[in-house]
Amino acid sequence: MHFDLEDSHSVPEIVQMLRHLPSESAPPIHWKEFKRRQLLRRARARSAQQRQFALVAAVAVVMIGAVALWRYLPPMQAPMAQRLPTAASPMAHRPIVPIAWDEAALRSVASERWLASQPAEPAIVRVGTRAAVTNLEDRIAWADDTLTSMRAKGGEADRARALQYERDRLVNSLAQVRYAETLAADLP
Amino acid sequence: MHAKYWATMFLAATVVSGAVRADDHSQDGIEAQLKAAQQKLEEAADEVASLSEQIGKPLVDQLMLMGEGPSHAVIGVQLESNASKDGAHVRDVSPGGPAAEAGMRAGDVIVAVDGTDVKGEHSPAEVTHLVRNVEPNSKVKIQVVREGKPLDFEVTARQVKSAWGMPGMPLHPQMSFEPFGPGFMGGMHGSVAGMELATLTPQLGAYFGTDKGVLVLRAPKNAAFNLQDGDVILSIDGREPTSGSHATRILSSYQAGEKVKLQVMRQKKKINVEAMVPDRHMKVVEPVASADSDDDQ
Repeated sequence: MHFDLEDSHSVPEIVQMLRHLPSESAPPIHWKEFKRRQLLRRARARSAQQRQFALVAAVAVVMIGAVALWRYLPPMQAPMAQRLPTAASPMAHRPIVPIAWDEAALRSVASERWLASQPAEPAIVRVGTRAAVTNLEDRIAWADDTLTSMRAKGGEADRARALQYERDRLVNSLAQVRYAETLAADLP
Repeated sequence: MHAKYWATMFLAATVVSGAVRADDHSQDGIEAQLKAAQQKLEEAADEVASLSEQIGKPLVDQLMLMGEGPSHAVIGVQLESNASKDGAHVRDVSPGGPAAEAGMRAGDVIVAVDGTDVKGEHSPAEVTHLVRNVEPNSKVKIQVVREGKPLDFEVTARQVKSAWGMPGMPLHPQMSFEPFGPGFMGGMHGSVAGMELATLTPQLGAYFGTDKGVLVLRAPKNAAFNLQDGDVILSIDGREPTSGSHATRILSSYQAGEKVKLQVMRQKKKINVEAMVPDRHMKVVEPVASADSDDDQ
């Protein structure tokens, strides 16, 4: 179907030949048809997107509901025998001590280590804060001496444990107060 | 032309000076905020200390009724309860306590207190008994064995009698977060809280004309003690403060209504200041020059 244009020498001949070429493709659609198809395509895309959003929202609602149920519903009641420590369980050999006491003891070890790394007092002593420090130090010293006395006498194990907890808590408070004192001393 | 030039220059100078002034004001504001933050930090520290004491008060009340109250001297040592023939094993040393200040450590084995041998089956009880019978503020000679070597320490026993107040009585009657209710710092908090002290070094001592005492870097604003910046507190009712903490401890031991006599070195001259501790503010009774005010050093 193609002609060799280089064989022709005149432009009018070439033009004539071109005009007589057969139409190989359908003429383009007109503007109104184009707009109609475009709108149809967009509507289809929008509805698909809405379906996706609905699906995601439904999944999220289900998940939030499940988490809420898990958190707020009372736990399943296990039989009492299952909840008590058995002889084989590590809890069986531990004294009944609130968890907070163990935490206070662990923290006091770290606090004491930090306190030991600090100088006895800042170079400039602010009497207000230092009074809080010295008062806590004195109470801890009293608690330690009293613990020695109580243990030497024997008995009163529960009170001694309670005092040990108080002592550990005072040590943690002392570390906090001294930290604040150090920060305040570093301010210009 | 000149008029326009000068008008432009004047306008520019006004804008620049305004900006500088605004910057100065903002700097002042930041400094004020910093001061306020520092104040809050210290108040928070006081509050932590105060609340910690209040929580432990019921237990201390019980122990006081059992005869374990803080009415005796303490050295701040927790001993192992297990009997040991080689001495009393130190389980823990109170941070900031007398034993810690003297250099004792956990793991030391106490073998003698003031020359009395405490090796034996009841060594912890013996140590407790001996320490409880010493006078507060007196020095206790404690011999320990550390890693097989004998060491001697001189521990100044402290009295913490007023630390918790009387059984059943609230620690802080006004239930405010002022830590200096009865038993904390008497009524002195408002009077000396802003005071800043420094332990005297030999060089500072030479400059201020004394070899002992505690330097007042910042006197309390309300002039309750009639103290001034640069004063050196030589003694408080005869007790010679050796550090800022020691001076704070001595001042903390006073209750409302008690009189305090301070001996102060001011401009290389000794003066005496006498004051009374009221509930909230300390009123100066008589700031007078002492008889030995001519004792220039």
